Amino acid sequence: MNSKPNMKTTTFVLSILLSMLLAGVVSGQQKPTTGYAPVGGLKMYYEVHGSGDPVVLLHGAFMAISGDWNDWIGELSKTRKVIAIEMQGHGRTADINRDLSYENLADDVAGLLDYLKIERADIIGYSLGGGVAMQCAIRHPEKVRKVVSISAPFRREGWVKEANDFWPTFTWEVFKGTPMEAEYKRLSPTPDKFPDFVNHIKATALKPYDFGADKLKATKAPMFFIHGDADGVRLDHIAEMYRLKGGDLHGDMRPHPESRLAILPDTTHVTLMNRMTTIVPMVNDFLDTKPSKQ
Amino acid sequence: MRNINSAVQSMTVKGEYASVGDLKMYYEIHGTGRPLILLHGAFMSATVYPALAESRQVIAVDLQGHGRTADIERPFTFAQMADDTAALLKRLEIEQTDIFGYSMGGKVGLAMAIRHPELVRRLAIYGAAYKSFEESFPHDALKVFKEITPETFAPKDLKEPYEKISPAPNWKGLAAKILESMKAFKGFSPEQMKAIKAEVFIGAGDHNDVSLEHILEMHKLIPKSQLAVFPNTEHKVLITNPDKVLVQVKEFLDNGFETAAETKQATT
Repeated sequence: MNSKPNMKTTTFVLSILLSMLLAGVVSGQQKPTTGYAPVGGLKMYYEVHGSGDPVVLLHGAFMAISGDWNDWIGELSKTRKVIAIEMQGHGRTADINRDLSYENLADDVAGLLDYLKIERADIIGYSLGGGVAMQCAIRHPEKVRKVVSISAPFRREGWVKEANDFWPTFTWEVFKGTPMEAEYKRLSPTPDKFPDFVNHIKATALKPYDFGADKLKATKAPMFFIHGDADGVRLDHIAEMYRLKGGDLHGDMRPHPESRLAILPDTTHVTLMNRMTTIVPMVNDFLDTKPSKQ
Repeated sequence: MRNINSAVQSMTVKGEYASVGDLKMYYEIHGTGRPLILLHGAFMSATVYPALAESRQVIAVDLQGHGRTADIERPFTFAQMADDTAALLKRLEIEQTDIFGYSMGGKVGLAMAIRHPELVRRLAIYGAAYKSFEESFPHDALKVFKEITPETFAPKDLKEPYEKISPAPNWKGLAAKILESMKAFKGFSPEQMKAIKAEVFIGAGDHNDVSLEHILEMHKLIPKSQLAVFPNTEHKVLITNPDKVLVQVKEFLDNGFETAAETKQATT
């Protein structure tokens, strides 16, 4: 028998292996594991993409996985297990008769992690999702490794006055005919309940809330606060959050705190989410940094 | 690739001297395009950052007593350094310029925008305060700063390059004058800051030697300003990893604002 493999055959086999490998990578990105988890009385929709250290993505109010995280998932799932969820009433998760409070939504995230048998995860949240991420660190410290909070305050007064003044005047018709309404109708198990859903969020947004400076300060999870210089969160509130987590010290002269702050120039609450190419490398660096030994 | 080419290019550029008042001021010109003045930090000298040099006429200077510009009998003030730089621009027949100033150079840049508004189109600063050091340092930095003396302050990475290029090196003299200038600086007034016409990019690290509160104040005062805070970033990043900051600085210098000025947050 000829022990030397035929050159042509080798090339052929290699190319098949390569294409299988590529197909595997591509399908790994395109076809997540999806499901509905029974948590908090909800049937909560989730997707799991990629493998590695787990990170949970929490979208903003009115949004779904598709609205906020499409481009992020492709990037983050290259090195991590990305668990994207749709919170109560949003996307494919039907609403129930329960307050849309930060506390409830945080408990849902903890419940999902239990359901998926994930002990601890990093959590990235935008806007409403950023507040929920902070609440996860406050209420479920053992489940949260690090938090990335994008454009979220920890009390209602942390929003700029214009944002808080806006809610009482707001009606669901504002979204009539917008892509947001179309996306709701496309995804929701109750497509004709868009007005109810919007009103439910409005009721939440009108309610005063304050997670407590002392409680935020007491959290163990390092936090990375990401904001725009024209953000919906007040700049002095951003500084307050960062200081509570040990920031605003002279880094050349002492060890750095593990929490971080980024403020992006010329950027608003909404345009922040278009700055993915700037933000994702910062987030990866934050999540990958090993805790310093004391 | 670009970095290597630019570095080679910068070594082959010959510096020049211009007489501005009693000062013989050293400067280098690199490339062609819209002018950009680079103002270095205290103890440093003309630094041409490749990330900023592309498609620009870059003018890098050595400020009074720094680098190749010999000191003269005159205290250091940021106003005087700004006037020196403005006089140099006049000599070079440059009517309007963009500026990037790092640390002390950022204060000189602010002084230029205040004292010579017609000269400045866009100004980017990093790690610079507009008030006195007592009012702008974070508490822990203030304590350390107060203990610094010209006799004890001698970081190798600053002292050695200075001694190599200075026409009349006197490290202790330089350190004494810099510390004096920092202690003597009373800050710019809020009115002066509000009157700045130039578009301004305020950059800082999240571990800086300018307090976050101070940076936010500055952003609120300057009418056309944008603010960038870089995560896990120190004051000395312009020496250790300049591109971390300069990518966004270049974006600003080339394109200015995208977001309407009205969206800027109102003063609290």
